[in-house]
Amino acid sequence: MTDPWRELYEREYPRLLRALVALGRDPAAAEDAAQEAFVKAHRTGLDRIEKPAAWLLVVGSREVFRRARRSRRELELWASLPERHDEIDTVADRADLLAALGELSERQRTVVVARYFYGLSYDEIASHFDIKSGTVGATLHQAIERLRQIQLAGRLARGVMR
Amino acid sequence: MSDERRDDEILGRALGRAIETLHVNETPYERSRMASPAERRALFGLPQVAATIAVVVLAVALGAWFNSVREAREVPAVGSPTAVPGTTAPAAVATPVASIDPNRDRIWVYFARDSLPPVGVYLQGILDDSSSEGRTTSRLSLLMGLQPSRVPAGLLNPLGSVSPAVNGSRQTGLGVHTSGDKAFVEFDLPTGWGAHGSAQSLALLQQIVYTITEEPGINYAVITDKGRQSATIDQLVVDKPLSREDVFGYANAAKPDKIEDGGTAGLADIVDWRASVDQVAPGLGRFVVELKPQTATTRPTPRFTAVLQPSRETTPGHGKWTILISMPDAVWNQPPGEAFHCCPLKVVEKTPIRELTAGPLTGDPPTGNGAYRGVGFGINLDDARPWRAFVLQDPLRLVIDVGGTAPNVSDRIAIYRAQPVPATPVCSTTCDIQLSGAARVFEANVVWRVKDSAGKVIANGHFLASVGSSALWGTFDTDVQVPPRFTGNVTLEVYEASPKDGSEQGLVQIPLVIR
Repeated sequence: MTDPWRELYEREYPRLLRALVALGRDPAAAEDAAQEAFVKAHRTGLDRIEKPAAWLLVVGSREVFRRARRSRRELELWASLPERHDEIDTVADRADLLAALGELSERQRTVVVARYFYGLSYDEIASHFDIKSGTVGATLHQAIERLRQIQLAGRLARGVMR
Repeated sequence: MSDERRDDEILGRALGRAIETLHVNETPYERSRMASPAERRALFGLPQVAATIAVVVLAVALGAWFNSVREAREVPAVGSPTAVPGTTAPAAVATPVASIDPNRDRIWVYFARDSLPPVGVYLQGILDDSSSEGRTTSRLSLLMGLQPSRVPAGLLNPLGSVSPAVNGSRQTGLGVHTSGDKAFVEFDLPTGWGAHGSAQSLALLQQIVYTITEEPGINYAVITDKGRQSATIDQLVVDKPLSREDVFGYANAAKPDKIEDGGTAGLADIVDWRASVDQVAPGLGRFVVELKPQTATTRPTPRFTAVLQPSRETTPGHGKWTILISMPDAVWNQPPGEAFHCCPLKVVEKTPIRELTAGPLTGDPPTGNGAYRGVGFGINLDDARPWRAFVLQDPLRLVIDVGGTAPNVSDRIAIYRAQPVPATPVCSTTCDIQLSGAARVFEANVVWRVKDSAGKVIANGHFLASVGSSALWGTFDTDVQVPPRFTGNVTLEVYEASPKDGSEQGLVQIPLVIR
């Protein structure tokens, strides 16, 4: 007999983890948040979760942002922290895009990841992330527009520095 | 689809593919927290990576006790808590309730303790999280209605004897409002405060002030009897805003203060960081960073700066003060291939230490193996009780001690244990008092004398602490002698003789009975 939790975990965990890394840019915090999301799902019960994939993304992304806010506060206490240079910064365009994602607001990041990585519809995004359905499209468009600008600025800066 | 929309789709999909190519460390199901209920509970809220699960589970599940027992074993120079005269055994910790959501269904409240500041404990209960007034009311109401069986062993709940006025089924005897950094709490108590004598009154006041000021941003409690500008608890008149430091019983509240040392150790790897509470002495929290110098030197000391400052936390649960320690030469090693993660947290939740945090002082690892040079630690504290920093050897440790038994601590002397030694063949009664503790005094010279019940000096002398004339404190573990065959009540006094005029500085007086 298959364990539904194992099935869910094996299907959704890799995708959730990638989404949370992209959202928070901290692999360990993402791992922690992803694990926590599954624990919360387990506590809630599978029968009470309508769409587990989206549910996990909602819970995981909240957790990752909460931790990031806390981490920022901690870091401010000790020193002004120079920009982090993760390995993803050294890889061309994809890295630019991911880095640019980190520049967006939490809400914009979440909506972009839900739409283009999870493939959720506007309605699904609206209901799961508590956003008015009419504003999902506009939020997405603004987010993508900003991504484009940041990515372009990144390319220009690299070009100038080379 | 419009051109604009199509461009958005293209870029969005490119981003989706970029996320898809992210390299992640996929923890298998068997090792997931969900698959193991015990690990799930122990790890809740801790940003640790799965690779360290085993270590973390042990440390967190056993909590401060694990660390403190270990610390007590490591430092035999200091005594067990029960050896300090006039104090109670260490307070029991609240047993975490596994089945409730620890972020939601628990309330941090304070209980009184003999000769010591109150101790905070999480109790199961529902917090009215709608406002700071709601949270404060929840905390006070929980204590006022608490069954004696729910009071942790060794602690006192003076608020349990307080019954606020009730109108029908509604409790009306407690009015809370907050303004700026003050909470104004009006009590309507038809049967009075229920406290008798100065000790009970102080214990009640301490419990109320600590519980009210648990709210972030609230530093003062203004307590009044209904319709009055003040409160009268038995003989104790309370007519001023009170902070925790006003009631905690230490002679000197620690001012925002700094201790630093240039160090001689050079680069040193962090082996461990941990905390204990009540093990070295009652009411004392100890934070330890254990280090291994990369180059051997004689009696190395680490370079550090430690600063006490008010907490900037805005959510409940993180304490009122923080000691920030920066160690620029400390090296945080990460296993190769493991991503660095910011700010690991160790939850202690035993007064005075709420939690420990750590983080990098700079952003970039200097070497390819993920080791970070320059590490900061934070000790989140319930109050600003006097604190001190030491360096201990074998293994090399930076130690920060916070508090201790209130009457035994001054700004430059802290007695952790003062214990008359049982009779020996040489002395028909006691002739030694074992004394251990810490001092920050000129040339390490600590002066002591013993007075009999009439105030006459029957013995005196001096000894050296391990370090003197330094920002660092020195430790001592010594015997002081009283005349053979002396019995009765005595007072042991320990102080620094001022290098200018010989006057007594930082005097600590400890009553003892010699049999």
